[in-house]
Amino acid sequence: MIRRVNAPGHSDVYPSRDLVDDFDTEFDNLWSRAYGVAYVVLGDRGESEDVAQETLARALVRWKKVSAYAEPWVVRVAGNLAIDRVRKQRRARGVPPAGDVAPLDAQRVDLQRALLVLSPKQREVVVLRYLVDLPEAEVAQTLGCSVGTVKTHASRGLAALRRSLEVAG
Amino acid sequence: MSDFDFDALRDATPPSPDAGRRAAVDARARSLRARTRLNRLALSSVSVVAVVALVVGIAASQRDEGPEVIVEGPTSTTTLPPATTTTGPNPTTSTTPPVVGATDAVSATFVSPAQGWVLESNGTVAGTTDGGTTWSDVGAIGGFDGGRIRFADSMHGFAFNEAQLFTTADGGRSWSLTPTPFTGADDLAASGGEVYAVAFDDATTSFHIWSSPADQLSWSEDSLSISPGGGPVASFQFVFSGSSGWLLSVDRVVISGAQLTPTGRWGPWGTTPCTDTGGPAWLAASSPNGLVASCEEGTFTGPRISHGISFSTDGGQTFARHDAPSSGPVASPNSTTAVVADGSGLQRTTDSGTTWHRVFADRQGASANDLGFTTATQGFVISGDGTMLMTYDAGATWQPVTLP
Repeated sequence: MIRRVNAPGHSDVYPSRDLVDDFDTEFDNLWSRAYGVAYVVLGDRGESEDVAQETLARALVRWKKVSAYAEPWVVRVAGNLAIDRVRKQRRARGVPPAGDVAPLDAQRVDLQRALLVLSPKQREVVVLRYLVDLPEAEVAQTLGCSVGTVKTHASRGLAALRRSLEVAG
Repeated sequence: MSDFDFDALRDATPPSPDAGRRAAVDARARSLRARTRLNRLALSSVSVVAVVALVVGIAASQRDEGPEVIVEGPTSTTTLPPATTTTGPNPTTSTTPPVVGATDAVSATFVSPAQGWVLESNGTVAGTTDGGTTWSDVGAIGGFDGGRIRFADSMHGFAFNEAQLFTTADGGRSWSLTPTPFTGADDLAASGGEVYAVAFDDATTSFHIWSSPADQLSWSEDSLSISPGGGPVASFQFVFSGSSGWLLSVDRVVISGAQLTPTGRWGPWGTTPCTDTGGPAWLAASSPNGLVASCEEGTFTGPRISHGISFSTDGGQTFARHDAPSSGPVASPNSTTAVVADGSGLQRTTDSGTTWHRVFADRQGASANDLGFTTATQGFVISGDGTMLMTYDAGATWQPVTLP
């Protein structure tokens, strides 16, 4: 269950001791979430740890703002950072053909290629529903929408993934 | 294609988030905070200098005698110069730029029909001085991750993401990480010699608009308070045309907006488009009084998702809505024409939304960034796969351009 933390009022631009304590309490869970999302996308421990570190640093700096929605914020930022690294890798190395790599890596190549073409809304739902593996009801609660809306976006997101792979393949 | 096996892609034995990793996060966060602290000192110094300057009566003259601006004019990607000043490439005689392979543009901006810049994902900044026909490398931004690029004039530019602001004063050749009194801009735009940023204010737990002269940064916080919505991440969109400016706040759905007043301050925008339609919206301006909003309706309220396009001819006081086949980032070269990036390419209407035509089909169905017009005929967009496209016929046709 995603825990929402209500940030207490504070006038300093830097996190107060209470906020840092709050961040510390959340740290393990958030780091694991960020790492998990990044790893599914990147498949590389070093890269994924770096994404998690960057994500958590950004969260800490803005903790007062993001604390109320920490987990979805972290998941989204980690996902975006991981996808951005995929873009850079594609530019540097080109796109590896899925058929020329091991089956597990081929799936990851498929996923990377597919995530790049989803709309932000579809990606948000796909990341929460499939990469983070939240139940539909929890995704709906996190995004503040109905389960039906989650089903719609998840379905359309996966359909878009398939279409993009059929076109690219 | 079979479904993805997401479980197989997870790390079966993920590393533990130990104390070392917590310390590493602290170290990375400290550098961000240090910039904020440094900026506070800089602001204090600037304030002292400003007071002294006012006392001796030279502050105003210094501002008036600032660096010469070679190209004057607003720089929002949706800014439209008067049609009579259109000087872009003639669409009937221009050479269609050659189609290229994979490029990786992430953001683009123009300050005139001729001069523009594009930011690539590796931090390279390329520029054009012939309306996007040819591009060449101008400079690079080291240590910059993603983000967007905006220019106020031919010399002063800004590259920003949610944690950093880089600035240039030499047309993009050199860039400096620049301290700000806010932590990360949610959007930033330049118009009329000013640069505007919207950012979260920890003190008031709300968003505020900051502004500064573009050629000499000295940020002032506007008193208007913009409350966050209920979604995970609020997003903002500045739109400028001439002396008019708007800000749209979206957090899953349209939350609120702000309008630039004649005094230079921002006030509430009481008639934001798409406010009660249960989904996000995208805004563009075709003139100081011409606005268009593309609305995704029902996304967060159900029972079904629909799309609308709303045109305003009175500066956003009233809107006329039409059904649309899709919604997304929008740009508008005149009061009846709009181009919408809908995730499958670009759709265009020339009759205020009555009829639509797909004018560009993105092979990968990608979403788009920085869709805008620089004249009544010339426009640009960054497609989701990192290809930059230009139009020279008001969005009727689009061609990929070659980046260096």
